[in-house]
Amino acid sequence: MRILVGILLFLGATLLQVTLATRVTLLQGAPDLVLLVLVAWLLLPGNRPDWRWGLPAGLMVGYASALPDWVLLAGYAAGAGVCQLLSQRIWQVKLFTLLSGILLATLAVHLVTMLYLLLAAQPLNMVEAFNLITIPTMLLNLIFVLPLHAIMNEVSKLVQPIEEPA
Amino acid sequence: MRPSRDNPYRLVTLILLAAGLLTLALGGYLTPILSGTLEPVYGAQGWLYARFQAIQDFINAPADIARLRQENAELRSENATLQTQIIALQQQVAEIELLSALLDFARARPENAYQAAGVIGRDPSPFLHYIIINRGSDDGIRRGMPVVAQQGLVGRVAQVTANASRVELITDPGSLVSIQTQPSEVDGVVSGSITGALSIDLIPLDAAMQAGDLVFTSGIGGLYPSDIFIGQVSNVRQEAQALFQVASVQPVVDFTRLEIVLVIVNFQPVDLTPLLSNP
Repeated sequence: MRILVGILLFLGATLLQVTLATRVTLLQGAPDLVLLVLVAWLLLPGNRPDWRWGLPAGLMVGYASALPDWVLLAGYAAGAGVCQLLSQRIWQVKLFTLLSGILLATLAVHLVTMLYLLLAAQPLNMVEAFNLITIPTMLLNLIFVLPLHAIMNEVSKLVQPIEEPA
Repeated sequence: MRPSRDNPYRLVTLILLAAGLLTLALGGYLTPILSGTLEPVYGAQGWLYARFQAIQDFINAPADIARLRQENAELRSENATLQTQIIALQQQVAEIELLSALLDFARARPENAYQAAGVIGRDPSPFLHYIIINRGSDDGIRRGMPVVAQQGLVGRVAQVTANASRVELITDPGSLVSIQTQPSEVDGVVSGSITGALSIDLIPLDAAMQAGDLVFTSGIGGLYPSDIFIGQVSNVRQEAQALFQVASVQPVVDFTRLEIVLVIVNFQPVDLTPLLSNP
């Protein structure tokens, strides 16, 4: 059930990303809704983050994007892996885990994309890409992750209600 | 006291008195007397009427307020409906203006056949500049077909499914378009970038390109038809010791506001790959 809900959430986030989120821009950056949902979902209380959650998310974004599927699969799996590592290391501070998780996951996805663009011999100015795309995207993701985490929390409670002690 | 029938003079006197008073009243001679007499009566009547009206309003007020509230709600509902209609009509007007502009573009180039398509999405990666349109192979769209808007060149179809296509914008870092500037008549290649800026590289040092020149497709390479407007040269840079000049191009199309585009469906892109391969 949890897997099904997670996949449905990724699907909804992908649709919103393609139609809506790409219009909310800061310089050349835009919030990555799928990554936001992924990180917020993985770092929910009671969830055990696993890098494999990045695979369905990457597959869905890969279907909508002109980037090769493997780039996004690797990028989102790396993002989920970052969350897995963070939850094991600094699990005591949930908010810090969430914020650092989204920052590092965004960085992971963008680094993998930039690596692909370099390998594909596309014209890429790394400094420009970092200043105009990666940092604004990180900032937007940072803004959106807290409300999205609250929404995910409510969804999680609906899907898997916590039993009250008798 | 009952009037006596035996005294006819009294009756006649009364009739004459009444007739006289009536004549005086009709003649207006009694007005000052009557107004002076009736003024307090009118005042009292007005006072009484006002109090009665106030009491009646007080008694009927709840019913009136309920009626007014209902009327207010109906008017608000009607207002909302009208506002919605206004917005819908404004959207229709904007759409008609857009379609009219596209029609003008299509009429200006009767040699081309067009398929209109709506923009339904954008590439989720901020590093790439692609749009998704709602026409695919079922509508005659094929890979490589050029895409234009009413202002000028948008890009070309990169990938096609049955009902949708992905269009690579000319601002994409992987996009290259052969161009010619006017009036300087310099040939070159416009390339996109991850930031969406357009530039022309490898311009010979002796080329007379300058800011303000218009940029059109040249048709060289066979990927795009010739003479489609792309934009305007915003500046030309020549660095010391450099072998070529570099120019920035301001695109004429606002790629952030694309809603409807035209796909040129009768243009066959030329595949030069066999000619470029070594024997």
